[in-house]
Amino acid sequence: MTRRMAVAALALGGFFISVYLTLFKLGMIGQLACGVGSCDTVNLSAWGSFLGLPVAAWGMGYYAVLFAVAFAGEHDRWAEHPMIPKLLLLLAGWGLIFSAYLTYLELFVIHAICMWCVISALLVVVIAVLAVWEWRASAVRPA
Amino acid sequence: MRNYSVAKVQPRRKSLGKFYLLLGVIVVAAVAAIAINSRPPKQDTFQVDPNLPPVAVEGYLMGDPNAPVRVREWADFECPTCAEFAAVTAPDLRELARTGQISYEYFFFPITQIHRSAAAAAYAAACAGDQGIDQFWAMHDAIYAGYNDWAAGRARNPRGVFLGYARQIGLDTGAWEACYDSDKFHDLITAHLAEGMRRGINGTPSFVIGDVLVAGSIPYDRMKMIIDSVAATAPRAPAPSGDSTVALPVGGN
Repeated sequence: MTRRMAVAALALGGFFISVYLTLFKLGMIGQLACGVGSCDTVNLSAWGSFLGLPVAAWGMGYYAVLFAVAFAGEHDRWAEHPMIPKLLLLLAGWGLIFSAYLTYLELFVIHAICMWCVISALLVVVIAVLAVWEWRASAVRPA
Repeated sequence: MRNYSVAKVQPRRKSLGKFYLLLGVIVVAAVAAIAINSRPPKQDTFQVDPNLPPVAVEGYLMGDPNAPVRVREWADFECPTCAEFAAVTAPDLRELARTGQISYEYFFFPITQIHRSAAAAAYAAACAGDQGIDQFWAMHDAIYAGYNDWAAGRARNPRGVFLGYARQIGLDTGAWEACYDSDKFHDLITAHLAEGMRRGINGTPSFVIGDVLVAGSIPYDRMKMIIDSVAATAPRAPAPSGDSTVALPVGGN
């Protein structure tokens, strides 16, 4: 498995976690399966929305774009395109910053942890590691 | 012309079949997991019996009594969901009260059958309210914020914990203690309970917003939708009878 495949697979998993949380926030699911922590508290708080949309919906968009870039980077047409590793790095960096902010809110403002948010944050960390690795490995040097 | 070497690029796979298979497995597993773990939400809003008389007992009011919508909450200080609501959603309701969109009225509903210290907490808050409406809300906030200090058996006798809050918020502790140790607010708390039960309340927190009874804690978004809906259908109403000023319930005895 290549790094890009791993990023695509992780992003797809993150996308469906976001779908699950979005469905809950929209009231289409009565209760979250949440073994550890207090998912309801976090997702139903005022910080469960960002610019009028559920945070989880923003997550869906983020993971969809990440998946699309990594998926495209596995196909011949885009495999050698220099923007692929840069885009992955940029997206991963943004994901890290936003996940760190959400984690800060959970710990110090809301005082509750959502298990699914933590899993998403961990996915972002792993994706970031892979994206940095991919970017470094894809560096083009003068001969 | 420069020559470049590309370093350590992972060789592209000739076939992406296994990759697609992996993605397919992820999709199927995720959709199945979401479907299995999804339960439709239980109905949690009901119409209040329109033939019921107006609320006859005063709660603890925040905001303009003439605000277009009155949000009434019946809550139990020892109920964890009530504590969660107080921390997570109530601040947004208070902001609506501050801006005059709603008035927010709190009623005691201690479920003493399962919450051993719920009545004591209600007394603590009522006795703080005896010194002023702001003091009531300060004690209300302190009791909920300190939930883990006294609730669910953590303090065998929570009187000392509540006295600490009384000191913390600057009450006349002598007067507070005399009140707490008396039955001054027994009738009021009982009246709050009865009023809630008359409206079909049997759990906490419960809310009456216009003619809508909300059983349980709901997200702020939904609560705001209900408030807006009530505001749209009900013109600005006069203050409830006998309540033209900020409500400060008096002791029952």
